[in-house]
Amino acid sequence: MLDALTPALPADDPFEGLALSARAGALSIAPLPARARFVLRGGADAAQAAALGEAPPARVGAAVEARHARILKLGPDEWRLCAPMADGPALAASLAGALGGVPHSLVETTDRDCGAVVEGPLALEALSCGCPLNLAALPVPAATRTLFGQLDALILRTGPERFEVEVWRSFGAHLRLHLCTIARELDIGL
Amino acid sequence: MTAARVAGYGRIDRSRKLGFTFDGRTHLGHPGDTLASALLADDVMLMGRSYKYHRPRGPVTAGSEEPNALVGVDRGPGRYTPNLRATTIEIHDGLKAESQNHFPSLKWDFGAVNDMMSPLFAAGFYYKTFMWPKSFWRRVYEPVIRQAAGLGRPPKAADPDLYADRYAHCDVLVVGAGAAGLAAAEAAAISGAKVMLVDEQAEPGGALLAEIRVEIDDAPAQGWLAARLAALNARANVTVLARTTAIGLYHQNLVGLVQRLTDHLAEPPEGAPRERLWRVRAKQVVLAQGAIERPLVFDGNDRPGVMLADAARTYLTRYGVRVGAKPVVVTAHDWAWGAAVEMARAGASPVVVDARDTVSSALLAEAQALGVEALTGWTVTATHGRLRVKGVTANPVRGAHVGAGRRLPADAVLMSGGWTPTLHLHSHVGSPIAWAAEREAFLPAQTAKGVRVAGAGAGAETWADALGEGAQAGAAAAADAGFDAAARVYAVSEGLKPTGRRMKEMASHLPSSRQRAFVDFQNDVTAKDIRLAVQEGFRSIEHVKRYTTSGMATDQGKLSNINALTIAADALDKEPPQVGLTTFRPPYTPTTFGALAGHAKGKLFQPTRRTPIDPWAEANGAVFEPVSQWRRAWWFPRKGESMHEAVLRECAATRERVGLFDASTLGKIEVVGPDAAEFLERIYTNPWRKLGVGRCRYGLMLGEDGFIRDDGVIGRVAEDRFHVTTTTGGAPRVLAHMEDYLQTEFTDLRVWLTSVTEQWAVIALNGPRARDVIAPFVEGQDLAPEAFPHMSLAECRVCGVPARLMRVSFTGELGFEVNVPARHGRAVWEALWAEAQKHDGLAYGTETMHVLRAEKGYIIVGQDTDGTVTPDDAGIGWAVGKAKADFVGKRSLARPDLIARGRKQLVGLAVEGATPLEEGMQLVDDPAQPVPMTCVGHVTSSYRSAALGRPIALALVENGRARMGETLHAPDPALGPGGARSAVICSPVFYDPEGARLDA
Repeated sequence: MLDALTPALPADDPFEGLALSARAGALSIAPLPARARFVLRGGADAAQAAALGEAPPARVGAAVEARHARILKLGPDEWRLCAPMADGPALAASLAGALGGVPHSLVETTDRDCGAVVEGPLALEALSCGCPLNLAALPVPAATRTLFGQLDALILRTGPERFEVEVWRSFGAHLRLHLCTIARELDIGL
Repeated sequence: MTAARVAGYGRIDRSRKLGFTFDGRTHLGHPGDTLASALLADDVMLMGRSYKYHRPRGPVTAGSEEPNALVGVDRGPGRYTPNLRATTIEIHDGLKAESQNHFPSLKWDFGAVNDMMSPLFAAGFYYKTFMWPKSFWRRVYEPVIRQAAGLGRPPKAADPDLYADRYAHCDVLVVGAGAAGLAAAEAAAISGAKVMLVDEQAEPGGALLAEIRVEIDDAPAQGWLAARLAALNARANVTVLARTTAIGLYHQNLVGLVQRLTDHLAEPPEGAPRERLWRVRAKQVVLAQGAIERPLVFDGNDRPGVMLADAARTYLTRYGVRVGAKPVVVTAHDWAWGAAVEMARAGASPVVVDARDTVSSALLAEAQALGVEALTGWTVTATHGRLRVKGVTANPVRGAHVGAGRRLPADAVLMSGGWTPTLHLHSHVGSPIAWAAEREAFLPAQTAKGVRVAGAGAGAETWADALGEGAQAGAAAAADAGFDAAARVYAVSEGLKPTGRRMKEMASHLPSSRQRAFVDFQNDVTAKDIRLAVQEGFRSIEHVKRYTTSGMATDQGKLSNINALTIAADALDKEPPQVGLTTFRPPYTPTTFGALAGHAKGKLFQPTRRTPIDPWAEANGAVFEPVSQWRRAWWFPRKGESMHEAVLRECAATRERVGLFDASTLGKIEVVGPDAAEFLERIYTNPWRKLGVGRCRYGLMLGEDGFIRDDGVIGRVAEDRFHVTTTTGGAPRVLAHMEDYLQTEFTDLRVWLTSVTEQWAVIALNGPRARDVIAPFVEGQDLAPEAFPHMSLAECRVCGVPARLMRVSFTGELGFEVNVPARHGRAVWEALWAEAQKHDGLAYGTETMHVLRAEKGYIIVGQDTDGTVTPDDAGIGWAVGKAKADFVGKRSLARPDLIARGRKQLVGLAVEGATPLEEGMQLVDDPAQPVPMTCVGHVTSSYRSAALGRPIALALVENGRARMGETLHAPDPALGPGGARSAVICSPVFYDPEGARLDA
């Protein structure tokens, strides 16, 4: 497993510098904080091992904030783990240790995914401009793989009015422009 | 002045005036006016010219069903919209509207000559008339017909407006905010359900907006309406959207709405979207679309001033405009008597001509009390006037006999043939309708799951019925959505339940063939046309429709369908249900393309995927090409260079020194698990079990049919971990193919797939100096040829970041592919590029990549293959593991047709002449043979080769490998008749056939 920590070299983020606000802060959109991400595939035993003693999410879409990582269950045999960027190498090492002997696939996707935080009383309305799902019905916390506009997206609800939208990196610029368009529309308020 | 604003009527705001222009003339109206009502208030009745005959036309309706009063609105450069209905355009200060379909002016239109030649223009006239000579159809007849017919001119400039889209979810969606819709929304809202109530008009209320005589719950209708709307708007669980047309009902209660946001504003906010498309998923839908009044069919029923009776009543009661002082009301339905009475109260002197012999004494008494003359058992056989109706000829009817005409002066003719329930959305999902004989109308027979129809659309004929049915539908919908709901009862003061008789053409002493009695105003279809179609053998209403074009205009026959059906049924001597009704399709009313596109225009038209290195390429002047959704650097021109010159320079520099190439778009799949090698063994043609950790191999993927689907280099990172690369465009397809097999066929395997295309930025370095360029940056791997030979893979560091370094080549030169985490891709590229400068290296694009690989005979899947090429055809049979028990496609490779002689095989072409062949050119043995020639192959790739100093090509040629040295010809029409290029078949490996350069 590669370690995710690379201090010296400049790093690009398609959402760098994004700071949108509409109607006096009723909606704010900002880049996701940098974080290490891993895709875990395997059986329930792999998820159990990766939870390092805590209970992994049981239902597809459920999210658990464990001590070492946020764990999302995205499919019957698929989990997503993420942690602050600086904790990435340690997380990779502890997962590798815990998963030894359990058939699984652990793949780092730190750089594959990028995204933005959509927050505020207008967050649901803003997301309804791109996402066909009824996100008001999404529990807190929970995640869903869905569409946003024309993009495949992962939407995670971390609070009643706080959502994280992730897409693959090459779609970042498109998502960014779409969010700008939406924020402007909501600001005009028609 | 015959049409005028009258005091004491209407909901318009008379305290404010709005200035607008129509055909350049300034008019004043009031807030609350439509363009039609404001023009009528200024006694402008003539608003357009008809589609085919250019007959003068005025508004027939007061709503979105309007077929005649179609105008263009100019909102500034690029913002001209033709064919808008004057009856739905809200006026505002500065509105610029113009009439259309005329030359030189609305009043004097040369096109009206069509009307005088109308006997020539019966249904199907151009099919019969313009048959000869055949060649004239496309060059002469069709252009002339298209010029003469038609409506507004289409806009030519790109639409500068913005459009929005949005999804919504609710428990109950109510379409139509008239009496039934309001009652439905109220019943559902009180239960706590999340309710959306939408209406196409500028304000909710539907027909209630024009109702001034009825009291609901002891309050005048207008006051009741205001109170109910205020109550609904105050609820957090209710969204009321005006100016919002439900354009379509789709499966599982998906409803498309188009909300008009700014067209009604004199000064829209900067950057505001013009319209918004809503896609609403409703648990329950209540359709309360109402009903549309039917015209009557009589000679001259299209003259300006002839309109529907309820439209005239609406102009009076809602807009305060009395459309005439001497109206003649022509009817076969009680409803029109109300319009006559209201006109009389407003100071007009109406005469009622009712086709029925007897009408209720109450109606007669009310009319008589107001001095309205009533002629029952009469017909109308003509209207008079040119640009405006001046009178009608009314005749008594006794049995089949039409008596002598009496000329009645008239400045307006108000007609009513009864009401047609609006069932468009109901029909969109394929729900059946049935003919209700007692109502003489089609009504919903069975609704789709979670859909209810209420109010006039379901056949209600009184306010009490509409409100009651609406409340019940709303309560039932809320209950089905899981809420505790109850329908309340509304107390309504109203008179008789109106009745009427459905009519074919009105009785006349003239035969149908000598009348201009219009059925479809918008497409200029007359009763004569319908009867002609039947006479010519059309039996189904669908065929009659297509032959006559009745109901095929943008109004989808909202006014005409039932009249057309009644006349066709009469001609066929059948009942209406036996003839059938045509199908309604979305959208309910004409919809802008902009609304349908929503956000997806301009830069958001479709996603353009960019690599991490894309900003560098852009800054360094790259020309880009689209490759699937990606944009890739195509070539890097220097000042004044053509593509050809740049590519030759890039090719030469790479072969002689070193070139950098952004290969980040390559698909990458991480295949991990104890059974990873076994999985690849089954998916790819090559053997994988024995591939060592740290080694790479070319992988070839077939479909079940044995044809090449994809290829790429696969490296073994660990015993249980492979780094699989795919073609750029094939990445999603390959992942889906693998997942499909894994989930359905290979469920025994413990292996999982993760897309890592975007995890890694990939920088390919090719050329004899490639090692020198990367060496200073690599930590943790010895790059010496013996320590890191061709087809090696290592996990190491490059520029200090974790990397997967592969020694592979798609150029035939010494090559490396540096995979680094995507966020560092640009920084690593810049470091390597700076280093490459020391070696006189450069960056190259996809075109150079293509040339270099073609010089080596490396195929590109999808360019040199087309889904019908086997590994042997492509000359890469060596990639098929002969000893393997099975892999996807193996059995098909033994099919007789795949091993037959004479298949097309990939070969090289040594092209004669200095210019390359065209890709796709067909190849023949003898260019002098007669057409159609026997083609023996085609060119798949063709380039100028810098290394060889001449053009080269790859081609698929029948039995090609057995024909080395033979000459083929590529017919080229550009060289004149019989012209052809020549090329000699050769090995596809043009350059360094021994492969020595790879091992540098």
